[in-house]
Amino acid sequence: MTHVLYQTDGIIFRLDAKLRTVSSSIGEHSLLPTPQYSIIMGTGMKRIVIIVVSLILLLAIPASVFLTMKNQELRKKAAPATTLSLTPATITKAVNEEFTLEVHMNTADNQIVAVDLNISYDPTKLEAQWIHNGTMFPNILTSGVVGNGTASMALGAANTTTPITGTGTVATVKFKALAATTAPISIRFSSDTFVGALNEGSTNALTSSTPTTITIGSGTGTAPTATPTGTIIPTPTGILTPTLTPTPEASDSATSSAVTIDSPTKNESVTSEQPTIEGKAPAGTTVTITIYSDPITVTVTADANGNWSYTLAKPLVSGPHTVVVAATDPDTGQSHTATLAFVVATGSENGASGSAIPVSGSTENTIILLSLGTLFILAGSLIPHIRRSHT
Amino acid sequence: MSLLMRQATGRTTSIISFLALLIFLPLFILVVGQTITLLSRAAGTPANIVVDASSRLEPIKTDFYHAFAQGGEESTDMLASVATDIRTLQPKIIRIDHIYDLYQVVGRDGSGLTFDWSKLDAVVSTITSVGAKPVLALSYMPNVIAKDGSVINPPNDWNEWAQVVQRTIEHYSGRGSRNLNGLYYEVWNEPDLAQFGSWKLGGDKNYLTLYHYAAIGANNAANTNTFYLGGPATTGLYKNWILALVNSGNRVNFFSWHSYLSDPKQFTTDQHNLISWLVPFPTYTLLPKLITEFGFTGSKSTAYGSMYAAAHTAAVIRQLISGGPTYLTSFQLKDGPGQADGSGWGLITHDDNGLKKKPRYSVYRFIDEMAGTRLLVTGEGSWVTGFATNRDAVTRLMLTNFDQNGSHSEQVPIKFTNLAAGTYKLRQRFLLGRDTATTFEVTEQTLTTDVFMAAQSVAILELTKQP
Repeated sequence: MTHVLYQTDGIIFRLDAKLRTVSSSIGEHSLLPTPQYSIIMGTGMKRIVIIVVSLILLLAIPASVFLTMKNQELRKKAAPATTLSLTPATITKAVNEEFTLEVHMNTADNQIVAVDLNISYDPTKLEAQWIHNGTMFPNILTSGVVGNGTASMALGAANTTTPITGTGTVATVKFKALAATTAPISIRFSSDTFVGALNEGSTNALTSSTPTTITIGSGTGTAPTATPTGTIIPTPTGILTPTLTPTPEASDSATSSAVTIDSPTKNESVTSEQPTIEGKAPAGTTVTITIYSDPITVTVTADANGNWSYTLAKPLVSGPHTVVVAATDPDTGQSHTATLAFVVATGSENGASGSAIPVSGSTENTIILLSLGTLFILAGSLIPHIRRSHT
Repeated sequence: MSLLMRQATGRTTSIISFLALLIFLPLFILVVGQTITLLSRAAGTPANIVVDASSRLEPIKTDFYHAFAQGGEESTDMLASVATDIRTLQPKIIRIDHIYDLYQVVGRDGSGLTFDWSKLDAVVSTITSVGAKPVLALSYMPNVIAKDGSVINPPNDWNEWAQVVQRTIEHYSGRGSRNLNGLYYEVWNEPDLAQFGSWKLGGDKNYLTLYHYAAIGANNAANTNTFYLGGPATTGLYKNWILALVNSGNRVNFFSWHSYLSDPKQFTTDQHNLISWLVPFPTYTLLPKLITEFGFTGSKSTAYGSMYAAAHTAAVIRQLISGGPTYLTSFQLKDGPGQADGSGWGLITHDDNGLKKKPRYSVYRFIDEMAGTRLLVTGEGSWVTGFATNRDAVTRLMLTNFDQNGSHSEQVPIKFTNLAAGTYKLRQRFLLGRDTATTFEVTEQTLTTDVFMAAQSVAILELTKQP
């Protein structure tokens, strides 16, 4: 009885079980003596090996799936989530009165490298006198500049290996009230305020900001004094507990007065390269829409019902995208931002995975590959055993 | 007019009127222009300085402006004859360019490229002997590898350019060679300038290709200390050049550019612009930033030999004292030959002109007196600017009156607030000028005085509480 064992390069190897030889077109080869063969490839030993390998695979597959999911979860956690707020949120001052505001940051899960801070105000009502860094960022990247209705400063971490995380005071700004207001006005973060974070690429990690609303009374307040109300002494600790008016916290879910993105939905795979982005914002507000990673910025106006929409004029490349929508409530002056990840799944070159977070692999592929590997190992282990049983 | 009309024909009158118009119209426009200029000069804001003596901001850095450059005026070790004067400046870095074309480093024999470091080594040794680290602008193309032998052309074989860069880095940063640590290697010098090749961000003379092969050479350098590779060393700060480097995917360890700007405040604007461009690229935002040449003009000017240059330098340092670059490099240390008219960029005149120190030479150590913790200052004006510090219980205020147009002077009101009651000595020191002291009694936390700031002057007011 002979079996074809292997064929390559025109040479066919045949097993003669009776004679315990292997013959080929280039000669005849002896097999090992039966006793040695049995010792090396004993049936009992083979079963043990198969069981052990199977057990290892049974453990490895769920472990791999778990680790892959964990990895994806970590990536999702790094999505833009940083908030900035000016505190106190509401103040009332008299003409000529001076006051300071603190810029607070909550990095959420982001690892912040730098912040380019731009604050705007009505220069006919207010005068910014100075802006200085707070305790949260040790590295002054650009000096504080005030004037013409803006106060600007850029701050950074000491280096990229020690990014900033947590909550604290980014900067302090001193103002003087110049003229009375007929209605509350706001001091707010300009749209070009940018927070750069590791693992965020060129996406602005800032998702929302809270302004200060100020009312300036017509009565003359305390005359400007040369004696500041306090000293500015940086402390070495990175975390500061605000003692002023509590800051409205950023929320993942937009409130009725905030801007929302209703379509596409979070992490949705859209089949159009030019999807329509829709949402809600306070009626009549200008909504700024920025689509990353190749930034496309457009503005639309929310209609009387607060609905807004925009259909992309140019096709997006297949793959994950992030849309950031910002609007300022005309009544409160409060800035609202909403961020949403979606996937354009029209092409095949990027292998869109259904997640807006770029991933290096997918759970399904991992399972398929591991299963195939298991099959190969099992097949490789079982085939010699089957062949022996035939002899 | 009536005489003209009586004695001349109508045609003659018309011609004369037309000629008069031709002559007087340009004059009229000139006068209007001058008037507008004068009015706009007068429209600035005078300073009204208030120093909060109790405030404490960040410790100021004084190293960043102890940076100097020397251009390729001569192919000799130009700095050797002024080494002592340079050491007094306490330089941290000294930048040189023309390293390949002036010092004949690269040759060729039958087996390939050959390297003779002897002349460049002499210059580098002088730099290290005065306490500075050399910043080497990798320029220009060695003629033995350059197309048509021109030092501003690309090489015939880019791999040879990579090899030249690799060998340069291995020679100066190599542990088995000169063993210098923390050197900056800048790819080319003013590549955008026609004089240095008019490189672009594309085409046949693509700076990114030049940089790419320099980066390959840098990455191939073996057994070296820490070193930094960067660029683009352009004549100004240009967004497209900076972002092209960021997006090139090449090794970039620092950004560099030149700033020849008469308006000191533009230096602050540049810093803000640069950070706003880089903040969307978090891994690049915090890289070192080097202004590898600066001055008020890139042209030769006799003003470089006057207080104008000193006041400009002080005003620029004030602008960058907080949130400034890693290095602000003054161009240059020493005049070249043939500049006896005083128009050279140097802090020191050439050997042929007596090696005399110009006013700008003295400004760096003068401002060093300001080392300490920065204090809050408000009320700077259009011409008079300044900053204040505290060190060892002494409050200091540096003021500079820099007028781009050269003539503005000002009586500056100054107020120190939040002082403890007691007797204070206020010393007024002017750069290369008077040094006086006055005693004040402070009873209500405030000391008020004023100081006359002549055009292009620099002063330090030093307030010390008496025991």
